[in-house]
Amino acid sequence: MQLKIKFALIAMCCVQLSFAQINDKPKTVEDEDDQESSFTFTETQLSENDDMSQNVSIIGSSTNIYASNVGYRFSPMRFKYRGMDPRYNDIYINGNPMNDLERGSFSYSLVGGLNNQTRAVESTLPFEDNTYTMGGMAGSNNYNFRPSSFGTGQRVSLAGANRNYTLRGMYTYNSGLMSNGWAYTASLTYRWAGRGYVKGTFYNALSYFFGAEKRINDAHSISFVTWGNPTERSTQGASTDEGYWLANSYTYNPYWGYQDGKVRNSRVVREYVPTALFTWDWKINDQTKLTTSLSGRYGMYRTTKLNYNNSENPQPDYYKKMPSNFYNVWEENSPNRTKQNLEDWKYTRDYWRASEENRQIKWDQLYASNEQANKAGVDAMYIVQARHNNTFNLSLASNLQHQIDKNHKLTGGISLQKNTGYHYYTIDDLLGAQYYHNVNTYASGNYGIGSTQLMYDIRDGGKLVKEGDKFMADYNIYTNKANAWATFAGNRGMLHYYVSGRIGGTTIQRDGKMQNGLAPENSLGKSGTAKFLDGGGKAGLIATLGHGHTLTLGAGYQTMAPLANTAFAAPEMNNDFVTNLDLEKILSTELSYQYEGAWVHINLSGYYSKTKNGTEWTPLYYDDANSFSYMSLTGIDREYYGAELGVKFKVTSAFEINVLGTVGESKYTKDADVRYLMSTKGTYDTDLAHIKGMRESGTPLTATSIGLSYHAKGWYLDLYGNYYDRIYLSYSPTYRFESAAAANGLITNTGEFDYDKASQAKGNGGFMLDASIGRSMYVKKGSLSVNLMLTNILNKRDFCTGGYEQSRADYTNSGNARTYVFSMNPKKYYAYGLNGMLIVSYRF
Amino acid sequence: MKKIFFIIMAFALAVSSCQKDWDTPNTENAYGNPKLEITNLKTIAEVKDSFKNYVTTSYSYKQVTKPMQIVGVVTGNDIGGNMYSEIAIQDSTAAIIIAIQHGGLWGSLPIGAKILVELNGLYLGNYGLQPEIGTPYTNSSGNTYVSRMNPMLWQEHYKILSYGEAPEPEVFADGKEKTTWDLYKDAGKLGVLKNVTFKEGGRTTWATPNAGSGNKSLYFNEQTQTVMVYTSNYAQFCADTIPSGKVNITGIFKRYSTSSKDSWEILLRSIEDCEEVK
Repeated sequence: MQLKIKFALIAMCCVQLSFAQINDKPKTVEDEDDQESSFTFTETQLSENDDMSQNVSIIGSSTNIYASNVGYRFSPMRFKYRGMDPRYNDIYINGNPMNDLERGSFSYSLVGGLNNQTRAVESTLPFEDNTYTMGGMAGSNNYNFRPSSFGTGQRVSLAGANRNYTLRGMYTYNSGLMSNGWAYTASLTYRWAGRGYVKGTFYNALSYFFGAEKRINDAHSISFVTWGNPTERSTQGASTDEGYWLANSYTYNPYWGYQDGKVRNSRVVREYVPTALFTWDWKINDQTKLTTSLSGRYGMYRTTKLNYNNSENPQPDYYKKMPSNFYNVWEENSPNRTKQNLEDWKYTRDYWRASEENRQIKWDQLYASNEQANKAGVDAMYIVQARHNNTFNLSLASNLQHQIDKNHKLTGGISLQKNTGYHYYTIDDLLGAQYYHNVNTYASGNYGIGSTQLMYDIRDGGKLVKEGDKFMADYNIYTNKANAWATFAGNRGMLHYYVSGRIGGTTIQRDGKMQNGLAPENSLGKSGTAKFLDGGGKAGLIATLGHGHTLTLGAGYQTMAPLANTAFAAPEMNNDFVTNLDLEKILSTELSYQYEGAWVHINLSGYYSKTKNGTEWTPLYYDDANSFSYMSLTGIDREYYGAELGVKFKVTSAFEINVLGTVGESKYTKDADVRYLMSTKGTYDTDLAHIKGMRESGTPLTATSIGLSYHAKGWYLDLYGNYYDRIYLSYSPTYRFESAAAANGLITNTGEFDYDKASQAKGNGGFMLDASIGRSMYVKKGSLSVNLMLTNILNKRDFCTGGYEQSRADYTNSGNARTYVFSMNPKKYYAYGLNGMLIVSYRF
Repeated sequence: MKKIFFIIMAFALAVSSCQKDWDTPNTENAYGNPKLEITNLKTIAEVKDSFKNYVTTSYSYKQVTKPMQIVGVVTGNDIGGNMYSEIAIQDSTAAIIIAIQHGGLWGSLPIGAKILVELNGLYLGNYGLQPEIGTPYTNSSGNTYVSRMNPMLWQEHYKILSYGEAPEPEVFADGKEKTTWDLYKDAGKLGVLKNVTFKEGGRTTWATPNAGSGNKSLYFNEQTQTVMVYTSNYAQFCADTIPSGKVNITGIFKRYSTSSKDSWEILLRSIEDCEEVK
């Protein structure tokens, strides 16, 4: 015992690779891969751009070749299942709902580092019935976090990688269910990178998981688990193709710079969401089981950003610092192609290429400017501010399963959730400055100096703020949800059918903690409460036709309450709800075919979904008004349809070939109404956004793969060739405003909006080769395995994984055409080149 | 078992460090080109005189093609949001505007900073007969004149010598006294207009708020229409009401000349440049 402990400690503490852990079932190494890649890649390419949200859906299945492989296989490209936003993908733990109540989607970082705990999952495709919910149109998953369900024994693993983290150590202890009825679990994971794959990024995360379970008797079992993933990491910013070209690197990152010779990143995320989950399983009788769970979590999320006042944006790839700001590289007949323009273009290009410092933030300059601000007795020119999104959540869920008879089953449940989101800004670093006031500097000049309109909080009179003080905005969002669902499933001959229904209620309210000068009557205190009643139903039919053929048909219709993070017109300023706030209506259908033969397994699906009356909300800089503004788009209609194919050929007992593919569409089918508030005036304006034809961004809508797998004699060799295409970038609503159409040259000869010319920016796809090599073996005590995973073996660098169109206009506020053409310069992210991870694990 | 957890936890916590606090770095030479040297120093008046044709003829400019330096003190910048993308510098002989395409110039070129400027490669010209240093710009009507230079280029062409040397503003006029300044010799200087009253005093704002780009000219009861205060809509004091009583107005006195009129435009650096006289 002592020796094992020492060995484990040594293994943890040093980077030397030891032998690894064997896996019981042939699939387990791949399972580990699943978890590795899913978690690794999503964290790798998580953007902290304000406009970008986490966009990975978690999907799985034991019998569907496509669904069971697609999450892992396409994760380097941040694939979204069916091009659907992850808020349609419901994640549960022990039957307790875990999606974020304000954003609607699940925060992957909630279970970051818990690779060993998230192996047991009941994955449900959109039209499969389950025991814990009536799920959304992108499927659902229920993780089992009961200590008795985790594999008994100890596991140690060490990994080295060149991804967003460099080193990972993991230790897990599971007692399993012991004879005294107790089961314990304890786990620690540590991930670190002084410098991640992208320069300027670092990673520092500790995950812990502790739990205990007691089988009281044959009927009752209670468990308590608590976990957390305190993380500190810095991020990569998207840049334009011009920026990547000048930097001669696809991992150019404009968010960092040198300070006193050390790398300092302006966008640092600190996140910690300690969670506790209490579960009571009650086996009422042999046919009936009740699972009740109560979860509580307090999430702390903080992200920093460089901000500026009475100055120019210091971001190193700000458009005014680009060569194409001086010489119009797009239009041959542009007047901005004089001799001097060309001189300036060359000078700027040479400046960018002259040194790395020229391409990054110049922190010493920011401090120097603030020194001058101190001498002049005025507010800092540059600060680092932090945006905080903290959450307190309590969720109670109770699910009942009752086997009525051999062929009929009834499941149902209720859940109640109470969520408070705390949103505010603090001063993180004054960068040597002495003064900064809680004043709306964007609106400076629109109102007299010292006027209340310029104060973020009239009650403090635009006071001086220090590091750590709240400023700019401070408000809470209260979201409560109640949900009841039931499913009746039955078998009749060769048919399995089910019918599900659910009904729910949501309330949303804002509570302002600052009296904003531009909304003095309407910012401090509680808003009204928006109440929504939603619900719907789903039905599915599975026909087992014999000889391995199965046909599935599913259809569902439900309404969904709008999300709290799109429900308010300008939550940083006032208590106003978005006008025309209403339920989103969702219709989804699917037809699937499965063939399971002796040596071939085929899954083929076609799906069609339609949503109506959706809402989106974006803050952005709106040039025409020379103001930062908050935009709400309502009346959004979308369609999702496509085909999915998964085929597995079992050539020999050891060798398999599989083929996956999807060609899909996920698009906006209607223009949307816009209502926006200008932060410098506090007044609303409306417009029409011609977004018909826009598509879901940041995911390949066409993705195909061929995989070769050889698993035998303890060896696991996999080679995957993947092809990705039709990757769209997030659209800019302002570029497609009706009021801006003439100025943007987006009107056809017949006077209509030119949708073709306003087509959405796309990213480059292509062919990517991935592989995995593993070996597992038994040793004297326990088992070891070594696994090497490689992604993008051909080192193809120009894969665009996503990005966004810039929201600024191609003309100035006074109507003059700019030299820099924003509409030709979307910001992009590129996939990593050859990267990999080597994991060595030992189980005993 | 407990021991191993404690050890591992302690190890993990010890290794995971919080983002440290950052100390103020060395900011000397953060801006400008420390390698610049004086090899051919001229006064601003000498430079203006040697390029006289180019600074006194509209749409005229010439490049400086050999090393030539001037030393001047920054008297005007964009700290108040009014003087956009330009600074005024002055020595004991004259003043000149340097046009640089960048916001927040006040952070690197504060008022009172004495700077050395290397003119070699830059252009001498004028905007409305106000002498300027910059690079050629062609407007939509096809006219070319000296205007805002590439800010990365500018960084190579100056060096800070010292701070806190702002001169006192020269008295341009006092009340109804006739002005004593010369449009050619004194254009761009820091000056003060004493004991004057605004024609629209107390009844209008310095510029037009919430109107996007634009500017406003304000006139004095004691002076002719050739003397005005010029304020940008982006000035921080744009929405403040101009005083109704007697004031002393300090600012950069730029020349603005058209075919019909030759006038003085006074640009306030900040609201403090307007002093109400008791």
